[in-house]
Amino acid sequence: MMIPKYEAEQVLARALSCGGDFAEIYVEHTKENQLSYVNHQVDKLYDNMVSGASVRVFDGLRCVSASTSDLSLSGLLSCAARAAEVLGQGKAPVEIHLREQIPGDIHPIRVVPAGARISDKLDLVREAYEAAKADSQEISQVSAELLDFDHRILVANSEGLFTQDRQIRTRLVVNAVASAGGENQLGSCSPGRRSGLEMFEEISPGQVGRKAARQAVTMLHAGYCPAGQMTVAIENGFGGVIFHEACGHSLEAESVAAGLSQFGGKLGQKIANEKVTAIDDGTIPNAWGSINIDDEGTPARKNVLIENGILKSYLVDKLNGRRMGLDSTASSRRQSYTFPTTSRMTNTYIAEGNDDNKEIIASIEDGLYCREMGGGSVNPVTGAFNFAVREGYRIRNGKICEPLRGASLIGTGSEILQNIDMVGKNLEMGQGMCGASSGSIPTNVGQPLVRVSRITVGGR
Amino acid sequence: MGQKFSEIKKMCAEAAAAAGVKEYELYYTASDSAEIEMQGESVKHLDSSQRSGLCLRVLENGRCGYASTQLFEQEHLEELFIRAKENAAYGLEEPEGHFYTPKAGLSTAERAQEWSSSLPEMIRNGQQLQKEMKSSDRRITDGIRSSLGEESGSRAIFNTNGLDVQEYYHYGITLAMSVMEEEGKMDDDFAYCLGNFADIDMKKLAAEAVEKCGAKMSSGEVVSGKYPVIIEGETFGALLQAYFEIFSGEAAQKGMTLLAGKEGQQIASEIVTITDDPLSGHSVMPCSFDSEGVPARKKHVVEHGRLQTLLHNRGTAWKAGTANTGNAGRAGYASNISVQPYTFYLEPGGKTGEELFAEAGQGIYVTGVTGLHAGANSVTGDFSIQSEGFLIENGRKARAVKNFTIAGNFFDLLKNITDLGDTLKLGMPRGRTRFGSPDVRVQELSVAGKD
Repeated sequence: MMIPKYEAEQVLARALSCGGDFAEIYVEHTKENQLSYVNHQVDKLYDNMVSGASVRVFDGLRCVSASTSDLSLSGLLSCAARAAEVLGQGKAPVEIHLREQIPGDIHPIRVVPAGARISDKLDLVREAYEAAKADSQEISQVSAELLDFDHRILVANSEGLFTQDRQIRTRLVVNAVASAGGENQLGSCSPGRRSGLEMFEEISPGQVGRKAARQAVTMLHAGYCPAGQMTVAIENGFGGVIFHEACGHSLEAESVAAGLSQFGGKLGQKIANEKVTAIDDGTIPNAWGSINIDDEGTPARKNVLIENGILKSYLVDKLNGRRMGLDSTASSRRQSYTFPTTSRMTNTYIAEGNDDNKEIIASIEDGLYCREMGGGSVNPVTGAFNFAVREGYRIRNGKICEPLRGASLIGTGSEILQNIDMVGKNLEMGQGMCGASSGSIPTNVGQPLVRVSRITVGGR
Repeated sequence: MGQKFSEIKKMCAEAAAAAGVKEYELYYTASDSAEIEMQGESVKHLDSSQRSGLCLRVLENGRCGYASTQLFEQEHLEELFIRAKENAAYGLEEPEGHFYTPKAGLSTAERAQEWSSSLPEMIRNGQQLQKEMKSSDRRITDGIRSSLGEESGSRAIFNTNGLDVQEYYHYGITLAMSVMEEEGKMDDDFAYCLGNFADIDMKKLAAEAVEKCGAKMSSGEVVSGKYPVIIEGETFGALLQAYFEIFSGEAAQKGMTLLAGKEGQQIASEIVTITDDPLSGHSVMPCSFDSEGVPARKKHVVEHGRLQTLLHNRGTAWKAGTANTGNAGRAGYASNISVQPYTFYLEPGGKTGEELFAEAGQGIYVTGVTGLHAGANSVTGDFSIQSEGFLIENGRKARAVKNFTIAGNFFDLLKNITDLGDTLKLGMPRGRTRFGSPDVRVQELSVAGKD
């Protein structure tokens, strides 16, 4: 146990000693490891133990927080005092009684990576590295990285909650560079799971390396994507980043409660094409964005965000829930104790539709097929988003033709949600790190193949 | 400021003896910060944080092993030495087989803390900023926010070869975020200011945030095509930041930059000089030594278009057989040593804003870009990024435009710079690094907007 129950009770009582109606303490111990392999040698071996605590006090709609890396009882009490003092002085002493709640573990782990030998991890990255190198003579450089996190959290609050979770995550990241004629192109592949090293029984490191290499080589021989408005087909897996950016962020209560979302006040209204049903589900066993409890201690759940185009739910944390008069949807997440927690996504995807994947491609006379998407960003206020197309192809007369590089997609969320007019049947997830005010957190994006009838393609 | 570094040094000496480690280095950072966020005229969120972290590097058979922690009891430090020793078996060779040995007389830039703010003062300033924004335009919504933050901290490096240096920093930052709504259309923008809250003209800051947002509200579209472009200084600075890795000696050794081996060659237009300055007056964290304890110095990375040097730390300089530029950096206390710039900027030229516009005649003035982490690739140099700005018509700044992309290749862009403005504009600082540039005119870029 990171801190005993009686210490948490003292800290919470101190936090409420000057006013406020709710207090919470979040404690974490996170072991982070990263092994990078470049130029046939270990390039980086990162090994860190993050530990600290954050105390929050709510006073109506106001929130005061303090954090510290000092986990001694005196350090925690002084942290609570810094938060409390802001609220003023004088109030009857508060007594806190905590009851331990043990959440069910829906993400069993077999091989804890933090306990594995470095040499075993090295074998995995080397396999991925060598496979990428050997794939083509044009591959000039490869970097392979194994990242693992053993994140233990404890959450206690003045409502009596005292709960803990251990979140183990593993990810393999391979980047390959293909070079010819003074030009470089990049390919990458980076699968991750909320599981231990047993993830490599399902995913072969060699295949990850080859996939990255093939993408780099394909792009090296691609021409530049033309600019303009087009019909676009976006493939499954990481293609789901389109929904994540164009819509997901604007459904986070952090934006909605502050009056900063394009979808504010639209519950029950049609905001998307009726083909679109979108879900955020933190309970998918061992998925990259899954949780047992969120960072406020609420048990994970599956939330239907959009059903046949109708907005059904936002992603809500406790504080913004108060501001909006809504209950938490178990969506409160933070990178670590140093970031204030807020509403975020877990595994967010567009559900499978009824359109045949072949028909989707066949329906496009002249357009763009995005096999692999890169990252992107959005302004939740305007809904204006952008994302990079990592591997694109021209579609001519219903057939996927030559590869294209350097494309990006831009538009606004409300517009693209209406323009997703065909949804296929091959749902798959892709892994990403999502950055926002509460830090960088692991999230899955996902979708089947979809068609967007019209979108601006940035190219040249 | 958390546990004193002097105590930690003593405890580590014991832990080193127990683990049988002779040569090691300690890198320790500590910080203390407060931040308020205002909504309406009340405090929506207040945060106060105190933290410290330690990175240990040990040397075993000439190889370096890292391990980091935020737990400082003796038992944890002993475990830290054991972890670092294990990691050293797989670590990289340290240059000359040893950590840095300092030459005598390194002076550190101990900037005395010149001001300090109280919470009520911060709140008062925040309220004023909110009032100024709210009253300055009828389209302003209740979504406007202001935040004020103050941070002080230190970084210290000790090693068993006689290095023992420490440096302090302190800064304040004030942000005004404006939001407008009219006829169902919303947009936002922000302005910020560094320094003592008491010295900031809140009225001016509010006006800047409101004016930027107001311009966007009336934004139109751009027709796709090729246009002459002027990129605003802070925006070009953001591009420099996205492409910084091309100047890194570390990236060069990994085959991740096309500038590898191009020292002495013309890589940019003749009017381009790029400088890296560790003690710039614009920095919020001036550094007299880098993250390995090596004295930091000002240098030209590109001079009149010619690449003078890539940026190096001890390891990359040793491998390349070239001079160390004192650019060892760390993304956080626990990070491995990398290569990072300080205040890294394109030197201004001689053209006023009016002259730049007049010479461009027609085109686009790009004042903002988003999604650089996705749309700009430093390995290939390709970019295709969401942008906003103004049309240039008849040699003057005309109506605002948004939701278009500019696309090209950064290596070509550097060569195609035809003119530079006379004012250096700097972006928001991030740790010790800050990027800047004057307004930059380029012959032509591809723009994607409406058909």
